[in-house]
Amino acid sequence: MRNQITCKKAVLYMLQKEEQPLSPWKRFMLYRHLGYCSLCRIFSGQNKAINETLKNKLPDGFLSTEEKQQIVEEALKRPADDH
Amino acid sequence: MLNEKQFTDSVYSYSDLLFRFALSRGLEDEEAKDIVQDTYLSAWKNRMTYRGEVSLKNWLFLILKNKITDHFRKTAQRKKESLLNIGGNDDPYFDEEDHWKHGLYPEQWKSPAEEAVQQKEFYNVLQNCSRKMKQIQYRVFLLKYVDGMNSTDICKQLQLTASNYWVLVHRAKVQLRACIQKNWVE
Repeated sequence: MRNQITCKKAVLYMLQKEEQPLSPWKRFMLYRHLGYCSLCRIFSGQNKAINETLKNKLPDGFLSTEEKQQIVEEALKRPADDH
Repeated sequence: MLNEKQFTDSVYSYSDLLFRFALSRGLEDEEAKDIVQDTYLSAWKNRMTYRGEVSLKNWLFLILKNKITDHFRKTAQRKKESLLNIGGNDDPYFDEEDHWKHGLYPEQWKSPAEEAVQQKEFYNVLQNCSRKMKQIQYRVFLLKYVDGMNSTDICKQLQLTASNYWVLVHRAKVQLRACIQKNWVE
C-alpha cells in the first residue's frame, strides 16, 4: 500500500466525502495529505464555500411580460382534448 | 378542471420559477423557454384532467419534470459521443505526478463579507464561471450541487458510469474554483 496520495486523488476524496463518509483508509490518507499540503487545504476551504453558496439556489432567470403573454395566447388558441 | 383565468394567472405566477427550474437541470435558455411553453400548452390541452388533487403549481411542475426527462432521453444518444472525451489524463490543473501544476496553484481568496451585496456578487461570479462548463459537465454539476441529487440517481438520469461521473465532478469543481479565483477580486 502506498503511503501517500496525490493532490488529484485528495481532491477526489474530498468530493466523494461530500456524498457519503469515506472508508477509514481513504479518510486517513486524505487527512494526512491535508496535514502537509497547504494547496489542498486551500482547495478544501474554498470547495466548502462554493458548496454552501450553491445549495438550493436555482439559477437566475425570468421570462419577459411579452414572452408570458405569448405563452398564454399560444395555448388558448388551441382546442382542448376530449376526455 | 382549469379555467382560462386560472390558467393565465398561473403563467404570470409560475413561469419564471418553471424556467429557472429548467435551467437548473442544465437546459440552455432557449431550450428551457421552449420546454416551459410546451408545459403550459400541455396543461391547457389537458385541463379537463386537472381535478385539484395537487396544487396547480405542483401539477405544472410534474408536467415540466416529465418533459425534461423525455428531453434528456431523446438527447442521450447524441451526448454519448461527447462522453468519449472523458477518459484519459488530460487534466490541465495537475502535473504528471498528479500534484497541483505550478502556475495554477489554489490561492487564498478573501471570503465574501456577510453583507448581502458581497454575497450576491460572489454568487454572480460563481454562476458565470459555472456556465463556462461543457454541457454534460454543467448538467452533472447542477444536479449534484444545486439540486442535491445523489450520484446513483444522476448516473441513472444521464446514463453515466460511476467513473464517468467522478471524472466530470472532479473537473467541474477544479475548473470552477480556478475560474472564481481569477474573477473574484474583492
